[in-house]
Amino acid sequence: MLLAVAVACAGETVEVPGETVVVEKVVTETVEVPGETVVVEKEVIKTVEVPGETVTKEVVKEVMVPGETVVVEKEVVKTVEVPGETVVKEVVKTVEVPGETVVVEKEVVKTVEVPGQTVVVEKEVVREVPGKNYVTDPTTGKVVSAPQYGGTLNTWFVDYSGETDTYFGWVEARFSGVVQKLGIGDWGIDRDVWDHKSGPLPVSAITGRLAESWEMPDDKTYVFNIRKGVHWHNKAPMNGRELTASDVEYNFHRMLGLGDFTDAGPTPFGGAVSLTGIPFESITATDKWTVVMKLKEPYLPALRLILVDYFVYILPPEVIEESRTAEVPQGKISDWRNSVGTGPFMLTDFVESSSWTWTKNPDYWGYDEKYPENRLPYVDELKWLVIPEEATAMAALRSGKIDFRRYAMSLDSVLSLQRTNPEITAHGLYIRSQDAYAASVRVPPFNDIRVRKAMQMGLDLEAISATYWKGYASATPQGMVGAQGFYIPFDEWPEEVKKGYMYDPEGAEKLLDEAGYPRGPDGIRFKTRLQILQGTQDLGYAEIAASYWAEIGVDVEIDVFEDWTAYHEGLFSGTYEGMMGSIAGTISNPLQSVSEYRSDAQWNRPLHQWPELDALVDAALAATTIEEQQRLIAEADMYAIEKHWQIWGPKPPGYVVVQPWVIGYNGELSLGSNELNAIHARIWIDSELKEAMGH
Amino acid sequence: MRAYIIRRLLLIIPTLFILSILVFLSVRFIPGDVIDAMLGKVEFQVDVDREALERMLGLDQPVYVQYGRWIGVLPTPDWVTGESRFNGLLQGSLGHSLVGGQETVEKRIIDRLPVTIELGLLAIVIGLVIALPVGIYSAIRQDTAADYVARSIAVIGLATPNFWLGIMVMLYPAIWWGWSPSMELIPFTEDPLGNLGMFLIPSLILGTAMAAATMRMTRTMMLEVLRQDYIRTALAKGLNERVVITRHAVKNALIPVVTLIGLQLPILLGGSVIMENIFNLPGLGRLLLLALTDRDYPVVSGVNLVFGTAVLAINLMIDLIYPYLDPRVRYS
Repeated sequence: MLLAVAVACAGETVEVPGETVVVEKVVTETVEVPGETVVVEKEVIKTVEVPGETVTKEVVKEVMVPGETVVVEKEVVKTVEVPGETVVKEVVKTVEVPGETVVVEKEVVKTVEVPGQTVVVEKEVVREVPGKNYVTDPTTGKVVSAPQYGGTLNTWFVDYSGETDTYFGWVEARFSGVVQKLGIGDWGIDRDVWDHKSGPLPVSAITGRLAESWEMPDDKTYVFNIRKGVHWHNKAPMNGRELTASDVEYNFHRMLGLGDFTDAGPTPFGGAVSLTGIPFESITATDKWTVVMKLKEPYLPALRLILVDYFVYILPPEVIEESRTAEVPQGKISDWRNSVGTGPFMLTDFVESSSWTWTKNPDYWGYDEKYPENRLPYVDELKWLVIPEEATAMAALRSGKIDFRRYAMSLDSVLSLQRTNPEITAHGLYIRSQDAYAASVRVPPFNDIRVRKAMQMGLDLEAISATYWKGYASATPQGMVGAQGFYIPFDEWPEEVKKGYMYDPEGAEKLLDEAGYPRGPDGIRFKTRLQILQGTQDLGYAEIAASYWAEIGVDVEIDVFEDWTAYHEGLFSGTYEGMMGSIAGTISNPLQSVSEYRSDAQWNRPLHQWPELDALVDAALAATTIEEQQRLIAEADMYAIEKHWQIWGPKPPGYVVVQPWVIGYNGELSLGSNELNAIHARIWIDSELKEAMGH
Repeated sequence: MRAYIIRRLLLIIPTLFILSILVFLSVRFIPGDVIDAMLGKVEFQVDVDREALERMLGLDQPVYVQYGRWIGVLPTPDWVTGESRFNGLLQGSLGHSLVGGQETVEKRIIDRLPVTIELGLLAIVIGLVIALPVGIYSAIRQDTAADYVARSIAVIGLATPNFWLGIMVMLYPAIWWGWSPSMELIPFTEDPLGNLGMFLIPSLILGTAMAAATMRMTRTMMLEVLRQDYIRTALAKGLNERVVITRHAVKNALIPVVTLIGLQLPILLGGSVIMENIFNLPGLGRLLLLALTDRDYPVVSGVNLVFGTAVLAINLMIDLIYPYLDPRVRYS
């Protein structure tokens, strides 16, 4: 029983005018339990303040139990504040138990606040145990436990049926570690230069895979030098033979209906137009290690598409040849057992709708771009567990049965996971906003730019993001284009344009008055319609937006469509009125995004007839250098932004979650189209930590 | 008897025809199509030639042409070779999946069937093992504490939704103890105990729900039979109670119970769709949900047709069991 408590407090403040304020507070508590132990707790709180900049708080706690151990806990909280912009909070906890280990836990919480724009919260917890090996990740500068081999990486995947042969459709991402392309996203690139969270990959962030290097002697010719020493898996019928330029020629001929495949014709799959749209003249293996591709005319995206497009996997020619018949002259790889490749993994087991298992290719030729002395892959086995039910997937994460999960995680699931399992890291990926609304500019009321601008100014996107999406959605406005380097960031927009995208209900009402839409006796200025597609646009957000518009006197009726065709009928026929759901800030192909800005495009969502915009789009598509194309696409995008082409809506994140023992991963999205397993080959399991955490 | 079986089998033909129309049309009323589903799964937005894709998958044709092709009265062109041939239900084919390597629907169904059969059989066994003894005991010990407890548990079992119980079993052990069932199918041939362990919880949940109704029916029918004169006579003759119950009462009480089990089978199939999904069992239920998500029309229609045919077959089988349980039943 506690009989006596003695508390002694002492405080001291040192002030250096205009510079630093140091506040020291010492609290000593002595707890005596007669006949038992004497416990002395001493706490020193030291605060250093540099007004407007840094606040450091140091708490040292000593617990002494006579005759037993001395435990020293030291917690340093460092807060850096740049008013109106950044808050960085760093908490370093050190626990020393003499004779045992020293564990240092470092928690860095970074909050970036730019008023009226974005709130980004990053949390990183680093646990270091002295005695273990650590390395610095050269792409991020972070200290992580050193690469180690072995173990099984269990990843989650949604139940998914895909093709097994690129000729016939989108090949499932699961084949990415087995078969390879000529190029791949550079894993070793500085993440400040390219973070692999945005798409599409610029050529500058692509490194050679099956092609060691490439040259462009002129703007219509590409010469690829095929890597020597790459072998197919040691599995029939390839039996480990060396990859040559003929294999590359064979695959491109097959996809495009050239050479031996002229009779069979190019892939009939309508999704492959990115590849079949390249104006190839010829593809020839000029010797064992060289492939020359000639175009009929210059085509700027050609190199990127040849290197990393969805449809450029190099498949095993012998397997295809075995399956060629008179009925199927192009052959077909239809059995997973025939998926032989040159990649780091070999597909060894498949239970439909349950699991995919790959084992390490012991003869893999590739090395880690970050740590070039390490041969890939790190893990011995890779599993994809197919778990479509959310509750089951969450249970698998909580119980450590899944190490890595990407896609299809709702914000609520992530927050729930962080409450119960804070050790699991969630990486947010901002792919696009699906809650932008295009306004039909061909008819009133949206044929008046003042009305479109007023609708934007009537939305408090910061507040909606902070409440409806709990602060996790990005409210920073963008145009249609969100691919890194192809758009002008909001910070750099002209001040006048920025104002049109900021919440200003009074300004919105004034614009509507000027546009000739005064409030009627019932307070309503005009009625309009917003059509959204169920499962694509967020109905909850639409209702919130409608309530904001009601505040400025605009009565919006929401029409939810379930059928894709019916939903798009008004757009494709050019007859819809009011607003309809759209996308914005998409990180996908900027050429496609900007093409949709043309007045004759099928996806001309505002149904505009703006020749200036058409001219800008045409110029962007005809650009001869990537820099020029980036600039012209950004200009076209800015033109549409200034025209208030559509009403921007927040961009909530998608998530990738990883267990703390999965090391080497920094939230990357992909290393090219469909290259998930290429990432899995480059991360490793800290088995010691995993075991210490009871798994 | 033979004439009766032939008549019943002939009656199944028009039923199957109506069923084929229903399963074919119902899935096509769901908004969105396979191309929307495909596009939704691609990482980034991609250029597609939608018309080419529709042509390739045969979705450019009117619904009646698609139905004609599916049942095999109209020829289906091969999208790769362009060659047309009759290849539908009448030719013994359920068609090709629109996704997933264009496998045949039959293959996809056969691959999944063992899981659903195992789950269903285990659930039936567990349900009967619980329901029959408890129902019989509850009847012969009517209005005792044990009877009240059994009936209360049965009511709770009836009132508890399967999906809720399944999710709770998945959710809370993971939060409290960091435990969850196996997420991968363990084949029976590789690890029989591991396989049974994997199926135990979902089949328990399905079985107990089934047991609740069966137990109540067993109890009611047993009470009915126990009041019959021939039971009183048997007891009056001095026959052992156990013998009277097992030889004379139970068999006669089981006819409505068997009917109820037959009626519960469609519910069991519906429950298996949910349990397979929650407990990650790759059976027909999972295939149906996946195909619905993918808008893979031939697979959805095929699985529903198999489920419908199974229900028809089971009901026929149950009708044929009656004469063995009760010799007074005669089919002519």
